[in-house]
Amino acid sequence: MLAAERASYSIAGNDLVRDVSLAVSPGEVLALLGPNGAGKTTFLKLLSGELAPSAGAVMLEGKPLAQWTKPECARIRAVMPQEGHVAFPFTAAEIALLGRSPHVRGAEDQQDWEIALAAMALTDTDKLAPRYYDTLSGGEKQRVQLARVLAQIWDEEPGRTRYLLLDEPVAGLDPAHQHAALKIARTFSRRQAGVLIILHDINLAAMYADRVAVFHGGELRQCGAPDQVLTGALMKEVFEIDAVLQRHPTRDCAMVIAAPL
Amino acid sequence: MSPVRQTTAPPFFTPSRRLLFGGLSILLLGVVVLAICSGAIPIPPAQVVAILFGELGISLPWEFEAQQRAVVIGLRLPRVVLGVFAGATLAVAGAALQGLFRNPLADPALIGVSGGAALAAVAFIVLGHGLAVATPPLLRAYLLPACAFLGGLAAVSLVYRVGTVNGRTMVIAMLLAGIAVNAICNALMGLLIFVSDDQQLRDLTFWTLGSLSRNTWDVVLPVLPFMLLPLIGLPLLARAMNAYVLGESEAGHLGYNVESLKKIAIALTTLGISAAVALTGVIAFVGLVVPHLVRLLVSADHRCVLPGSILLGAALMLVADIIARTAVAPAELPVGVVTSCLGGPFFLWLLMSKRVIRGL
Repeated sequence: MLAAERASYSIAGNDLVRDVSLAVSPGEVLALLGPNGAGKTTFLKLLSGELAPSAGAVMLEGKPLAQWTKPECARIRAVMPQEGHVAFPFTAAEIALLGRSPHVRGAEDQQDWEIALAAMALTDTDKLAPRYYDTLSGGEKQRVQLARVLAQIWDEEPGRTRYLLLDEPVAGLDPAHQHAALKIARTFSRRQAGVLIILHDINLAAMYADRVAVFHGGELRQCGAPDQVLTGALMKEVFEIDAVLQRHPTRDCAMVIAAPL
Repeated sequence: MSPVRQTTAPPFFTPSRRLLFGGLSILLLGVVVLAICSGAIPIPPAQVVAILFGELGISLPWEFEAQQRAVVIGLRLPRVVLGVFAGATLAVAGAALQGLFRNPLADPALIGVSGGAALAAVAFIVLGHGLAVATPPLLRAYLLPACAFLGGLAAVSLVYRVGTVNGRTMVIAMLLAGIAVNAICNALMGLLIFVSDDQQLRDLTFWTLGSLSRNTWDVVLPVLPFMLLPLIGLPLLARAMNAYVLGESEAGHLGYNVESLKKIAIALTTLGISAAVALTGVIAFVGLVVPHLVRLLVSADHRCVLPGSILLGAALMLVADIIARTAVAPAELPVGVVTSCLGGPFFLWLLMSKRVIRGL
């Protein structure tokens, strides 16, 4: 379990995250929802160890995150950035292969290479493998980055849990690839991985997440199954939209039809 | 060249890369022999090889004269050793700084090393007469290199201090601080040039343009370890630098200690560049162009770029020095003029062919 326990993060007297207790467990997709500046990315950075909580604690498998060595942590926890710029002519395959770094001693072997290519096939980027990363479109880059973080925690071993933290992984993707990426996240979670995703599209969260956590003003407002959490009142209060909640006509999930207040 | 690379095997040490490393090594060996052959008294390659092997205790069937041996061992070899080490160090330091700043424009001048070293050297030439007189004659040859070395270290420490906030190194702040330090150094050098006399002016012009003429064994040998450290140490950081290409926090998420990577890389490049600049003056373009050439020829993978830059930087420096020594013999051009004259147009051609730009 990757858990924040009453974690806060403040900078220059401003609480960006205040007193949040929230955990992601292997086997589930947890979606973070909330308006801009609600503290979602800061919270993800607390869980990834990039920021240290100013109060409270972050625990990975019951042990404070700070007590894990970086390589140990990197072998079971992958983090996908919001955007990825690469200054030099690396190919997409080389970028995906970098995900294997925590597992490699010396040089990558054939197995690392096959994992990287399998991850690229899963994210529909295998045909881009020989292309230079910086010649790819924004959405293609995001899918290559997704392949990289999948390759990082690819190995499935009994009793070993893995965590995947994704910061707006579908923001630049076309609809088909948005669904594809979230399906991958869901499939991955069923293979003993805990997946935490920051999303802006409430309908995607309702369709793919096991639980949603709604942030507002640095605080965790609600957390639970999408059907219970997503209500018209919450939409109005947190997102400041006038939302009608319906059932999705073909899927068993909630659907939000939004209009301005 | 199409923007596509072979991907059927793991992209490290594919056969074509091995071939290229082999080719670069052979090129360097060939250029070393050629550099020892050429000069006021031409010595045939067979004799050069025989003399070098003779020093190692292996006698080859080619005969040579004692005078040829004296020229090779006493005059040409120290110069070639200096050229190999300086070229390799500048190139690998340039490659490391480009990786560290994640900026293809970075070169050894960027973090202020060259500027600080040059300023200290010029200050010594113009103002250091009293210091020279007060120093035992035996140590006088080391004064200028020592000043330049300390000047380089001082400039980088200043840049590093400005760029470090709460123990974290901000590379952008370092980059800007480096530009400012360089500007200050250049201005102060201009001031010193303004007050210098004719002989000092000649000395310092030669020094600021770069030259391999300060090359006796007793001056070169003490400085070599400082260049050897980055030559061995920087390639060991290659995999961490590959991850660093993704960004600082991404490299951290892949398990690398980014802060120590930055500190070690900056320390090694500073040592190496200060040592190189202390002996050769400011030799432009090697540190900027060579890493780009290797990326173009082989790959942007730092496991190729760092060792490849060492081999190619050394070879190109020697070629430039052969031209500098022979083009206007018996006089000698500053080697920095040759590297800029050849490197500048060549780099422009690369830019026009869009090969470098595509990679940016």
